Amino acid sequence: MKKYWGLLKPRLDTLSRLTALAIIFLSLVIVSPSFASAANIINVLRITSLTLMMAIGVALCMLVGGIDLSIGATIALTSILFGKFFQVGQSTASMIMGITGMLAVSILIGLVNGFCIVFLHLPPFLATFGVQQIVRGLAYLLTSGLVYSNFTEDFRFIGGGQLFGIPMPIIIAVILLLIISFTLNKTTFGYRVYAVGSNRESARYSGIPVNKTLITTYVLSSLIAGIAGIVYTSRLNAAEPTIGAEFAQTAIAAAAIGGISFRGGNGNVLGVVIGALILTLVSNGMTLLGVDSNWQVGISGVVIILSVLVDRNASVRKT
Amino acid sequence: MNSQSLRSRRETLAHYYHKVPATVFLLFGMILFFSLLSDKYFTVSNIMNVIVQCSSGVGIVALASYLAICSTGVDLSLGGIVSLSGMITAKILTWDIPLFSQIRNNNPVFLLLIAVTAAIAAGAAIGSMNGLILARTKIPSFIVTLGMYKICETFSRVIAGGTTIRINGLPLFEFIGNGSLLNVQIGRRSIGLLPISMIIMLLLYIFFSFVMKKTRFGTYVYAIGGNNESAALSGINTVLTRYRVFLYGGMIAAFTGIIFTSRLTSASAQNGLGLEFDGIAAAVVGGAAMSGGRSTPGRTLIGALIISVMKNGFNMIGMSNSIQMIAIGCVLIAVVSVDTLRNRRRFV
Amino acid sequence: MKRFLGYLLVAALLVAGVVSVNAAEYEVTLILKDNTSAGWRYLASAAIAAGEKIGVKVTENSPLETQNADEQYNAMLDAIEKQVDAICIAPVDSAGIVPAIEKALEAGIPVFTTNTRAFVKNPEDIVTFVGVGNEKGGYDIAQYMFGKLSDLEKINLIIIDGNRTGQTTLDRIAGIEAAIAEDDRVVLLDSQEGKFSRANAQEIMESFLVKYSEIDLVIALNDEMAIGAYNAISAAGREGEMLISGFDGAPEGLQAVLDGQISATLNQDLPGQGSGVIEAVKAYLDGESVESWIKVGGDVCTPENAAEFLAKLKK
Repeated sequence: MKKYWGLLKPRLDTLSRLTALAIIFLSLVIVSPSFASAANIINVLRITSLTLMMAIGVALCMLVGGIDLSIGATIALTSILFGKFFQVGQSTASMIMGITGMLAVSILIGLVNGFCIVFLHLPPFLATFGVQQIVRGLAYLLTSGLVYSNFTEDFRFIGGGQLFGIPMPIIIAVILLLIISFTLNKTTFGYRVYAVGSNRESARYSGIPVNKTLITTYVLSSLIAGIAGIVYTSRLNAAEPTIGAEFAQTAIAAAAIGGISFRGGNGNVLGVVIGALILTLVSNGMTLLGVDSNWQVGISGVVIILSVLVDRNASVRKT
Repeated sequence: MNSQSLRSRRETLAHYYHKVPATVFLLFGMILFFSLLSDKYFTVSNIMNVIVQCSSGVGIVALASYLAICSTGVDLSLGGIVSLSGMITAKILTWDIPLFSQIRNNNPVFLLLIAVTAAIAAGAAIGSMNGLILARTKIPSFIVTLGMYKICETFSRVIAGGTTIRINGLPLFEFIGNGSLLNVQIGRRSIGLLPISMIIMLLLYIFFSFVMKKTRFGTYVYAIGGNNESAALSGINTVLTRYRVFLYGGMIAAFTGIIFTSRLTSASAQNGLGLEFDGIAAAVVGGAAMSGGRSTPGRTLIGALIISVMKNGFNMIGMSNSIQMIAIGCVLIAVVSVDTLRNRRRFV
Repeated sequence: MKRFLGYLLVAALLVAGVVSVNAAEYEVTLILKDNTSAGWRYLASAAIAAGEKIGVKVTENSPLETQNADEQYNAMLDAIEKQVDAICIAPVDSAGIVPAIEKALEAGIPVFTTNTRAFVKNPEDIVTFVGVGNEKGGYDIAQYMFGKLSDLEKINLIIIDGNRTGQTTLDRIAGIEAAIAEDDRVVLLDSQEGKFSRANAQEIMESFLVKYSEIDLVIALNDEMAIGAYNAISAAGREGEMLISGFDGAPEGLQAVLDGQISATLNQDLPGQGSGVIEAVKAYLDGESVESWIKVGGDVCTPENAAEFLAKLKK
């Protein structure tokens, strides 16, 4: 018995989160007849996949003890750049150039974040908040408020198409998830992320290149935001500077519900998946049940607070 | 005059120079800069305009943000509290139930008192909910106050009942946000030299300067921000202190809600949402460190003024709002990096 | 001193450009509901273009992101300090802007409204209102759409709201509700806030499609949301089942009508509102008399006439 407990104990958090998810899922199945349809489940998964992509990026930053508030703005800026500069030719070549450009810009934003945090010693919250302001300001400046739309069929396939009956965003999110999960669990970089997050000083003393790890993490987070931006722009078939105003908050909420600690070094990718699913299920469920828009905001707030309250990591302070 | 007293005086001057926060120079630099670009900038009426914009917007919220940041937290629910408390004020002032209509007809001043008290009580209630959770658990303040923000927004929307609440025929209430104790006539316009909202803001700042400097609560907040563990070891009730930080923050933000509603003579659930980030920016530009324990209410006020001066200045010289946004981001990063680099040099 | 200079440099670096010298006859501040969404851009660029033609310098000063009543208030105060010759505003909060309008009048600056009215105490406080009636527009488009579905015995209706804290949404909804009350076939299944955004509307519609097996009509409170709803419906392969209507008559919306994606939109003639209000300002400041309501737009754009409206916009 004791042996099994030893196996079970470290997984208790994930288990309790899975239970919460299952309870929400089952109650929705019972209460709403249209919920359990295949169409709706696909729908939920597709919405989750976007939240999930962004949440994984933010979760990486949180694992090293930081945060990334700039992802929404990154998505807006890259999407605008694509609409403005790369959609002119309407050819496949210009689309590939556009996508490369989007990814390059998102990497650049990640580098700026990393630079501010590592070399200017800014707290991550402030650095990414400031960068967020600048990036979104640039997005507004570039568009002068126009909406760019009607992209090519090829580009629209990325976010709107299906492969073997599965929507593309889900496939992309799953691939991304597998890559990040592998990176975190099986590579040196993954080990370094946890080490830096748990204790930066001792990581430094044990010879881990802390600065390099930090910068790589922020670049990864922005890059993932860039990928999410491509999917989002394609699905929307439009580029607007206003998109993503609440993405950072939603992503952070998903990661926090999924048990990624704000102090770093604690949490896993599976948790983030559960967190993103819980958030989407709640909002999807409320729409299906016909909950008034006015109440929806608050209920999601209650869900966020409750789910972090029941977390074991949220242990009671003695001091 | 002998050389010794001269030297000591010079030292005193140098001493004062170093005591003046660097942000003061930034503030004056900006004012100078905008004055050079627009001849209508440096006028009595525009200066009062900036002060009113500050005191009825980011100014008071920045104080609440500063308190939270000083105790190593962050309060994202402030915007929601502004919306909710403003909505409650409006609802009570216009509520059509016999009790309130009767009071409104017989004694409007009393109704006003009820409304203001209720608004502050609502701020206190939300603040204390934040505080209850954050003081006792290790959940990060970011996530709890984010949830609370959403809850506030919902209540505000539900009270509004899908519309905006308009307030008519209560000149005394409108006076809070629009009035002034002393006016001068310049041309056709009367310019308020002592706007009520400015007085409320200054009183709050003076009060909290006193609290932070002279009371045990203030010392405790700085101690928690400096080092929570050692603060607890030295016998400070950290749980209670942290609770009070968020409680006071909620009450302070409620003042902005009241001023907002009075200024617009109407309340919409949208009002004030987003102000929490302006507040954080102001507190941080003023010198607060996310690691806690630094800055003072006075410095925070300067930070808030810088934000307001920038917004007004860019409007005056006709710059687009996108450039404003970029500029605020740049100033934030620049000020904080200069600040951190200077501090590192001092300690390392 | 170094510190001081450093900060000065930071401040100086912030602004690269300097405002050009103003040679125009009149200076006007234009305050719209936001600085970002497409509809307001059409209004603003038409206003600025019209101003250049007739010698009015138009500076736009709208809130950046959300529809922010307080920032509009501050923008009014700043315009008063700039001592502009006139202020044109599309108020976010029709009641909330009134104190600021009174301050402008006190400073002797005439105020013009466009798109959305302000609830001033004396109607003569506002020189003129340029725009359609949102309530009438909502009524007209709803009635037109109900008429299109004349062969149905029951109309299952979905409304995609804008933003229920704003006046425009409330007015349009009031008009639609009036039309619903007149037609007893209509059953309002559901409505949700789309915040005037294509993305939000798309997500909301996706859920509605799952929830309701029978939908006959989707009324969206602007064109962006109508297109978002269409995207969701076409992704679900249910294009033939229901009709969609928009509101605004923006180029994208008109194009969608022509392409058969949405059935109709209400032409607000946003560029007409922009140029109209600036022309009214010029006329008023030149001492001419101006009507208290300059009506522009208000027509329902259908596949038959959308091409004309689009051609007019492109011009």
